[in-house]
Amino acid sequence: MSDPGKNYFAEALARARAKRADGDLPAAWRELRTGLEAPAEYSSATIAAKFLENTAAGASPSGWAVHRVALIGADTLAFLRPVIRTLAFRDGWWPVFYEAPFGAWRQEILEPSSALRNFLPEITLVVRGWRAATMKKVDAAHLAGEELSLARRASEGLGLVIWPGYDLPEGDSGLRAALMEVNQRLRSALPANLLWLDLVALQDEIGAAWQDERLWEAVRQHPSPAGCVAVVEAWLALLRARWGKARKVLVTDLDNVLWGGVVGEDGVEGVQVGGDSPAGRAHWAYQQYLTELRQRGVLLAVCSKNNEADVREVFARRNLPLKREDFTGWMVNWEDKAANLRALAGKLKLGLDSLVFVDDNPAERARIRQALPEVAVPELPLDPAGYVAVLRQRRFFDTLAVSEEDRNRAAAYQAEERREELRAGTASLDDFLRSLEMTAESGEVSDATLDRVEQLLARTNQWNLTTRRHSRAEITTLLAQPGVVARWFRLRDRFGEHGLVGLWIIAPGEAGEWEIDSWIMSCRVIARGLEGLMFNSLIKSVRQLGAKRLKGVYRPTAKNGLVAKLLPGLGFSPLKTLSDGSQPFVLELAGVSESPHFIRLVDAH
Amino acid sequence: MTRAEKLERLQEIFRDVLDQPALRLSEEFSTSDCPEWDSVATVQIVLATEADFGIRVPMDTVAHLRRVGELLDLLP
Repeated sequence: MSDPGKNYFAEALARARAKRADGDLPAAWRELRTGLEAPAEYSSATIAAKFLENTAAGASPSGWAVHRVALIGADTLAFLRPVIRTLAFRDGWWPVFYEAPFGAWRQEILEPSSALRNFLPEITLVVRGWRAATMKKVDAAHLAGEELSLARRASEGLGLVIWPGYDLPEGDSGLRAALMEVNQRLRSALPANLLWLDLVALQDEIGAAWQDERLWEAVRQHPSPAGCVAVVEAWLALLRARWGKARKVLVTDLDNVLWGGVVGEDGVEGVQVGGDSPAGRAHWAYQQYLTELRQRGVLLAVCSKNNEADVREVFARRNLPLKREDFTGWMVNWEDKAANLRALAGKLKLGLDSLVFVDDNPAERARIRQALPEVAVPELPLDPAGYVAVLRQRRFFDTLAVSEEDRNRAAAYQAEERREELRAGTASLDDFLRSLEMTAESGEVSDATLDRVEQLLARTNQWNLTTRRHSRAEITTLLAQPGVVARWFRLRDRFGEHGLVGLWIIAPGEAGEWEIDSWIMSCRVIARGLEGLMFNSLIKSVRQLGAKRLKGVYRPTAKNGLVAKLLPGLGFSPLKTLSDGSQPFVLELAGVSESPHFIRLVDAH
Repeated sequence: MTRAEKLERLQEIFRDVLDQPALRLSEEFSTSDCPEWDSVATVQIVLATEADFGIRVPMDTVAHLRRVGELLDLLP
């Protein structure tokens, strides 16, 4: 079955196993935790739990927060425990469990010296499905009264207790109606120190998959495996909220996340959000979800590699659910995203563990996971239509009750907002680039690559030094001239193939000089160091041609501000600016050294 | 797919579920060979097998599975 989340988890687990086999347990934990950024799913969660328990051999890894968790209830509990183990590990703590004997939960609560009470739980989780009520006479007032007296006894000596409402049987039975009434009565009269879990809401989210009759008949398990995951996610969200560990900021990427397409390439009117296309609708839904979060007091921030002017224009000219002012944090630049997130947290005076980072680019996600492990970086599906479901499932921002203060928080931050200098990243960007295991391939432009080369010349707006839009015929003519060389570059990394993403063209000028006609890189691979490798190949070529000097020119457009400083950064000296605003540069080839990068050139044709 | 090939795929599933990367699975391998193969593990094995082979395992097997051969018999 093709399920990117599952493959992502399986690969992380394989790495964790390899680290464990090497005896490097901290690395094994790290790999596994990274894998758990995929949406939780029953099989993966239980496999991870087995790994954790075998690896930790019953004890918690040293330095971890340990909590004593009692699991009590009417149905089988054994299926929930591994899911709690795994997701608590993801949240950074280690449960020590007590499981009440099957069906004995009432006695265990009532009996003053029961094994449950002797366990001295810090957290007590109560489980019971609607079938627990079928043995009773269906009398809502009576059942609610009985439960409430039990709940009152549970409110002392059992730590933080999470008490569930009843879930509901399918169909339109009297039992269903009675349980709805029981839920209302319970909820309104529950002792104040108990936390209420609304199982009906979870059941509604999951739909028909909540029940698995077969597992009920075979092993007395209810709800279904998917239901178990939802219940545990809800428990952990309540605990995070109680512990003040709910996330507070959603940091979003823009291109292909907040809208479909790349604004630097597709233009302000070309990006998709709203309208009739499925992609437009998916991105619209994502923005609406963010609007909902903001109303609940979650702060929104942007962290995106774009030209800021383009982005402002999208917000100004397109009709979007979100406005520029809705974002409390605004990191729109070409800096490393880890440095941006650190600066953002500093500016908001929040810990990095308050942030959730949403980005469609697996390399950016890997970068943040590696540099800033405190930041939550959910693994996203390829299809943007799935983003909201993934974020909802994780319950990052759940609070116990939405307060007025929550609602005003965004406004308060906004008032305080001021620009601070970006702090440079301390976790090494070099290490990150190295970890991408990038390889490049390069060759001279020929008929086989002409289509893609023409496309690059026509479409690339941002990383484009001269923005000369040569047509196919013009390229052919150009290439026929003596001394003209054009090379293409392909890049791949451990996340996959980027395709043919780079191009330079050089042409001879005055005696002993060559000039860069065009130098282009697709926005997919910006900030990977490919320009270094391309530059080295450029220098090698002109030297082979016998050049003494290399000239280049930056021709500014509305979109290519990104490469304004490219040539001086490589050691070129500026010449007099031309009347059309172009900035020419020259480089003496004698003293030029290689530009550093972390890409292996595997095949130069 | 031959029975041996199916057994090999089941072996991958058992290795994952039981966290025993070097486990050698045979048709005769049963719950009595492995204390960690409990009812929770059985359900996990069944769910993983269903996903991998695109089948639905009947309730009785979920309740009574004790030996690898019994699961192998169900695979297409």
